Amino acid sequence: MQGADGFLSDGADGSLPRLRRFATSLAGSGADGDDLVQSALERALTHRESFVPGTRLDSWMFRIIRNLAIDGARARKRRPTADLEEADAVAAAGAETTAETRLMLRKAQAAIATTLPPEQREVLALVAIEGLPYKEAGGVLGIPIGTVMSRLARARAAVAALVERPAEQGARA
Amino acid sequence: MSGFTDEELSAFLDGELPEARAAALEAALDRDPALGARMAALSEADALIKAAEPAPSNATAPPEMLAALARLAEAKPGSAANVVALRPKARAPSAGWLAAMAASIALVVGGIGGAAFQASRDGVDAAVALDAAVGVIRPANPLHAALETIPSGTVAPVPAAR
Repeated sequence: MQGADGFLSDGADGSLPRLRRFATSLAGSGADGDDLVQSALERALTHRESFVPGTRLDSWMFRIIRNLAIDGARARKRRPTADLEEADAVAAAGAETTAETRLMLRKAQAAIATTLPPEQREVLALVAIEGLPYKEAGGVLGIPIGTVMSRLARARAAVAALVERPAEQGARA
Repeated sequence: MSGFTDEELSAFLDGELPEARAAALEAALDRDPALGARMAALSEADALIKAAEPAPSNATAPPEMLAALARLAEAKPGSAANVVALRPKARAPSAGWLAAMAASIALVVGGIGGAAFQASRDGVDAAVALDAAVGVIRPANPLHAALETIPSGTVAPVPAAR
């Protein structure tokens, strides 16, 4: 079920799940994210000579996905409500998860999907979620490492503020 | 004031803080509860961020996507060996400061981090994995021991975390 010759493969499932997750975070929904991945795979095929041997293939694919996402964003409006519906679905899936953890997870999902500006969301997706080194992420996004660093810090601080638990706020009702 | 910016604390979580500065931060975390609280808040946020977006299993990938992937694999972009191993960060924050942190925060963060890692690795829904991670953590559970030694915000395999 995965690419031949270990291509895009780093384990049982290969890298495709990571590409899909990244695309989903940019597109705002799983369906739109999958459309992006499909287009990116096709574009990668027609532009395969532009891949520089010795560089990271995943970074190359992330960059293609991001460029397509930017193109797509110009053409249509985002649909943030889809994010919240999906967040609900994911949160509801763990029926026995403690209420507090579920609430925090949902808040984090909502914060990422609707509160963070796109430039913070994409760097969070590449580094915190997909694990790219700062240098690679800066290359994908076309920004200096210092900017990667500051956007990450702001994004994490924003999420931290949004999921802060009442006990820690000292303002429990 | 502790003298560490949020940017540095964030970079520490990613293993991107220069060695000397990371060592200084670890030492400061041991003696500065306020700094520890800031670190814990960012670390917890990071764990939630990681757990919030499970990577979809290939079982849910549309057939045309798998076909496109196979065509791309066949075409071999560039010409060199294309497999790039994707590994966890080489340098993760070390554990010294964790003990100073509130146990409840450590449990939630460590549990979610471990669950997210396990979930993404196994293609298991993160929310399901979270159950196992945060439901019951007894001293006999390997996760319990792991939480004592693995810094929060770090993802690491835990044998019986599911």
